[in-house]
Amino acid sequence: MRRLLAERGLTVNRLGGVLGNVTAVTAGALILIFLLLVLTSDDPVAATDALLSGPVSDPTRVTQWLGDSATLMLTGIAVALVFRVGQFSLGAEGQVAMGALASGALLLHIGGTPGSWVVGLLVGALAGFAWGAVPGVMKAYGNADEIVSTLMLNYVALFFFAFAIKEWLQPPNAGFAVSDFYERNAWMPTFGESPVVPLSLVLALVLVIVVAYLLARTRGGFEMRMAGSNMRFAAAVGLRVRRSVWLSMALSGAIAGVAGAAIAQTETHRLILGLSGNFGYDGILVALLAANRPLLVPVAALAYGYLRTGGDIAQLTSNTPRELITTAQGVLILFVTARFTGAGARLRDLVQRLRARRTADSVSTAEVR
Amino acid sequence: MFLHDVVQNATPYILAAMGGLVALRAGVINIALEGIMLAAALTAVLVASSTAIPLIGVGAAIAAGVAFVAVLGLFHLHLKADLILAGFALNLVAAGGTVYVLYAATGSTSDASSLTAHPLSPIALPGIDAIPVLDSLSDQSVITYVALLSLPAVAWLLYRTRLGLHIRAVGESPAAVVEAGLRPRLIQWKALAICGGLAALAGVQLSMSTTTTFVRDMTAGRGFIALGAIYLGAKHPVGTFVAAIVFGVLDTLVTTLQIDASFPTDVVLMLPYVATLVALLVYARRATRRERAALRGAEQEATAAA
Repeated sequence: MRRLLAERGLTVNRLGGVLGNVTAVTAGALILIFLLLVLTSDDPVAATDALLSGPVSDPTRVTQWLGDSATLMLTGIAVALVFRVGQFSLGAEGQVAMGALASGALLLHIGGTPGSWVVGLLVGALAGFAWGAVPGVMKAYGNADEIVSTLMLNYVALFFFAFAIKEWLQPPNAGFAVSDFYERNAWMPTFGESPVVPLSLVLALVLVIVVAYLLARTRGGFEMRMAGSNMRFAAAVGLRVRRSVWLSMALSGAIAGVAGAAIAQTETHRLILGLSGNFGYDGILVALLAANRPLLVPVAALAYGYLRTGGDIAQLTSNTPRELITTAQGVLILFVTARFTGAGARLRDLVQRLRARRTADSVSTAEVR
Repeated sequence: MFLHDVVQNATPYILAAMGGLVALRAGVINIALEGIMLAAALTAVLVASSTAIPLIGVGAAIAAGVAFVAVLGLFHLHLKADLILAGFALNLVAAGGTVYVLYAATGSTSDASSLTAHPLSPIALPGIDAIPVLDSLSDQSVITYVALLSLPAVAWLLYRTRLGLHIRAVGESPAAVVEAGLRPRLIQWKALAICGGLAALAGVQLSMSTTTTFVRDMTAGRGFIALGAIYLGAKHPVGTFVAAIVFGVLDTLVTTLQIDASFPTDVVLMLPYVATLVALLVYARRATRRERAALRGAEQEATAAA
């Protein structure tokens, strides 16, 4: 088992390290949130209880947790993919919106046809692909900074999303910016009654495996990883760096687009302002927690989804602003990044060097014998 | 009146963009501009309302802005956190934290209208009032005048002072700065502090002059637009200033057009971001071409020498 994992570049130590990080970060988050709760809430213990046990306290909440986690898995794997190619795309939020809009616009026209939900997801993926390809091509062929371009494209997407609903999709009697409800055939199937397990969860797991396979086992994925670890070297040995850059950003967009389509087809059953609900940005945290390792994304998504759902419930049941979670999230990212690229990495280097020396020692003693 | 509003609305863009420019030229892309503005906007309102003196609120806001950016400096420059992620995280802390503090201070999660407002009073410039066009510069807040002066100040700082030279040098090549016996981190710290102060003033303008209270998420992406203005202005003070003014015009147009409810203001709101995307592409292409030309020149020199 150990060897099998090692062959996949995932040594047991490394895996344990990442899981340890997730645990440490979750624990840190809980302590921080509890402190913030003590400062504002009248009954911090009840609020903490709502936060901690809320997501599993009744089946509808489990449903929400699983649904949110599925979306986080999709945006998380989307972000992890581009991060692995060394591209700092922050564009998932806009791609979620564009995916939802494209699928919604189509489904509102053809939604009655049986099986149209599949078409909706595909169109969402296509729209996300196109929207992700824009900064990708700009980076690969125009050398335009992808951080700034994806940030700007997020705003363009979100304003366009609002514009499209208000101008074209809003029924005349609606008091605010929403579309009509989708036909039943356009809804994504779910399993079970209570809790409901959304198909998007299965889809997310499948896509996680697809991305893991792509990166680890295909030529294109190899080129992408090489471009990510050393762009100049990859270019010098003749790997298709430009293609890796734009294609990975477009594929990442496609996954985020599916996430958008899935939110609308599973949860809201229509297009509504604010549908992307920060899931794109939260995907960055999920990818970070999983250290950009595709197979760890589901773990990170479920853990973070739990926290997120707990925050929602704490707001409902006790007088705690939901923004508490946003604040904690920001603090978390600060510490996670500091750990991963700073002290943590330095410590890991040191340990590795010591271990290498020990191995070298044992090898030389073996030779002497 | 339109021109007056343009200057008023351009002020936060100018200040945030100038601050961001100083940081960017020192090699620090500060995407936390948005968060700094938001935190400063709230600090100004809270402190001004409890002391009843607006200028103390402004001072506190600057302190808050610098403190906020110091977190970025600490995590990026010392703990080696990724610059973009740290900035992104600070925006989240500001977006959530301001609502949280607002709730703790006023019991409301939407705005601070329950507090007594102590906005900055407009300052009339005698003599200019009577001149058409120029009169738009009169009756502005003190922050607007700081914003207008920030153009010559930043240009002078970057191109005429030792610190400015160091800032530009560290942005180009930190290694070369080390070779020259300077400490790149110290220079970047100074640039960040300037950036924090200017961006804080941008936030104060929103909550103490354009409006008279703090509303959650009131920066509404202005920090990112300011970042865009820097790129649109080719990372030069004059260009950045002009871009910020253009965004001020768009802002004013949106407010004017919003009166007609059927007008799709979302499209106008989109424009600054689209403009930035185009500028980004043009600028990047130009930079690539220049790089290639330089490379070709070097090659030719090498062959000539051989």
